[in-house]
Amino acid sequence: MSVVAAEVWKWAVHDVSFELPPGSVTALVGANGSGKSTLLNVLAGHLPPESGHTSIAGRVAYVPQHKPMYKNFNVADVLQFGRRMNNVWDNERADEWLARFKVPRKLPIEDLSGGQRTHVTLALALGSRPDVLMLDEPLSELDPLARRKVMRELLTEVSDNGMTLIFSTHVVAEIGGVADRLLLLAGGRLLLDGDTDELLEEHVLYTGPRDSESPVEGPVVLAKHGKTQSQYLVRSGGTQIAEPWTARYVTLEELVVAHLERAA
Amino acid sequence: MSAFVWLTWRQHRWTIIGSAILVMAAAYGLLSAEVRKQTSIDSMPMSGFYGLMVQLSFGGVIGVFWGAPLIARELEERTYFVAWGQDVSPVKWLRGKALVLGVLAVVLGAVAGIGDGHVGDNKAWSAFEGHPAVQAGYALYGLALGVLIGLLSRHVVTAMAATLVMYTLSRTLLTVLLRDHYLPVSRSVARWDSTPVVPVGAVELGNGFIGKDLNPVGVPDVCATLSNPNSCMRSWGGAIGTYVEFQPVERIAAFRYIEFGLYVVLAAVLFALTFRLLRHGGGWKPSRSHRRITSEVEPVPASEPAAAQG
Amino acid sequence: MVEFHVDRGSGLPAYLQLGQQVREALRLGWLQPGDRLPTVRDVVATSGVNANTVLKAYRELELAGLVEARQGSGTFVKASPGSAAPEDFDPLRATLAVWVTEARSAGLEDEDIYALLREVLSGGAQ
Repeated sequence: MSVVAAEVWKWAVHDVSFELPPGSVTALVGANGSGKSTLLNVLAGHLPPESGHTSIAGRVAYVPQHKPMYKNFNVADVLQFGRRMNNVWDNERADEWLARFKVPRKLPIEDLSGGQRTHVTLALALGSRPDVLMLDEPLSELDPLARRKVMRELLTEVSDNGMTLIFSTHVVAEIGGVADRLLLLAGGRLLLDGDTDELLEEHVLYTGPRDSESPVEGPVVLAKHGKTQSQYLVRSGGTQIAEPWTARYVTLEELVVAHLERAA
Repeated sequence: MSAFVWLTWRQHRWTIIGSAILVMAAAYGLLSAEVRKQTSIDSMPMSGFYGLMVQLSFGGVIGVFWGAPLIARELEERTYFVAWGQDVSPVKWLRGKALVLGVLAVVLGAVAGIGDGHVGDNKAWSAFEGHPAVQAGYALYGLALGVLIGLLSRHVVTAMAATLVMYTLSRTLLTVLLRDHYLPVSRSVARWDSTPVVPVGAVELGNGFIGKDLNPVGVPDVCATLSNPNSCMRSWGGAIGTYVEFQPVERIAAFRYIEFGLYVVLAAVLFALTFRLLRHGGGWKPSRSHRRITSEVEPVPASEPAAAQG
Repeated sequence: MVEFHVDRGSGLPAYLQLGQQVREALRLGWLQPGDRLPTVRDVVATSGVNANTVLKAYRELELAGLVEARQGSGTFVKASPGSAAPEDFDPLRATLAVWVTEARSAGLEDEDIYALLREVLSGGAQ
């Protein structure tokens, strides 16, 4: 069973297809211009795909990267807007979010900081009690401390309400333990789609004397050769390896960078 | 519906208030001009002139300030993600807003067309625009035109300018080409000895010569080149007199309702087109500039995630 | 009570990190059989880890026979990992401390000690 199913062609996205189970947390990772925003716009229904289809079971809330909001609205107007424009509206949930992050109530949105505006758009999205919440670079305008707190609160909302969360980011280091699913986009193509834990367990980095052959069986993601050393990142390799080779697991960041380097 | 009353008022209250003030002042001017007429002043009073200006431009004002920014501002500031990202679909959103603004525009239009017109006499061709129905029609047309142009141009100032030009052009063209012929013209004929009589207040549309069957005849080449074709025609013998074509002032009421109907139909067509475009994904793609802005906001490439951590 | 945290720079999957932390807490005696593990929601709210990850970690611990899920009341510690009881740790720790002092006086850096330990451990495993 899946809550989001997509098969999308669009000028910046080529043949990207995936399905997401309900209650999952998916990180959409990719470089600038890799098609993340386009893909999210298509999923959220703001852009029609050129071909293919998207289907989402339930109501969607989407917060684009630039965190759009009416500049002359204040917080009360935004809540009123959410209440009047949605069939389902949980004012308490939206209000709590704003209180938690101490967003000023009286100021018009244009006088708020980028981080505060992020919270206003998130509150509007959460207040509509979506089944699927899509966030494009939700943390980009937040300081490091707030980034952690927002992610923590979002995950709590996910676990409390069975919501499905999709967010895009280019800070790979922040998705460990947060996202159970990783979608890696490059040049509009899906390079990787998998369970984050499984991906980590599958990828093993072998370091040893310079050699043009991989020391183990399995698809080589990336091979690097120095003067005296060679490194092989192999997918589905085990950690068992004979001397003088050494094996270790890689971090998500190394894994993502390796796949991007290979695609480049 | 109350949702859209709230939303429209919250987002457009200043333009609505501004337009209302403009119209109220015009109505006051028109009503006070009427009073002065009774104290016998034949020239156009200042307040009447102001009223006339408003009556001539009101539909354009609605188009430029209400219609054009309606969708264009959402697209330009990319708040359409907010507007159309809720349970309310884009089509419902536009229907709600257009309905509220449309009703307001019709009411304000009716007020702008109040009174006996700038000359103190409502039943005069020169005061044709001075009628509630006519003004309401213009207002609806202006609104529909502005909304469509706004959707197509995606840029507020461009949309406003284009709406102003298109509104002025279309109104002028329709007035010049169509209005005089909403109903078949009346013709007054006279034999050579007399001149055709045009009723008081009628608008003269043309004249010429009539043949024996009382229908207009053309001027033969022989006479056309002369400076006074009149005597030439008389001696040529092909014509038995002259005629004048006109629209009598009694028809003005009918003409005003025809004008109203015409602009309502035009507005309906424009709105239908707008809804069609909106329903099919708006017919737009993120423009190049949007893509550029997007990549600027995202300063750290994913290939250097270590740098992004700091 | 265990405070979970996930080292996002580590190559170890997050659910395994959580499992490791529970095992460590058991070994060190911070968690005793019968103790209740924090609820999934609590872990999510305090450590910012995905609920599915926490569930996966608890399931892994359950499969390893260390904890048991009781319907409606939570996840409870069943047994300690390894054969050694916590009280056996103390003499071993004391012996190790003596050895470390010896190694240091022989001029070994911490790095050297770790390397030695790793070597002995991996050699012993074969």
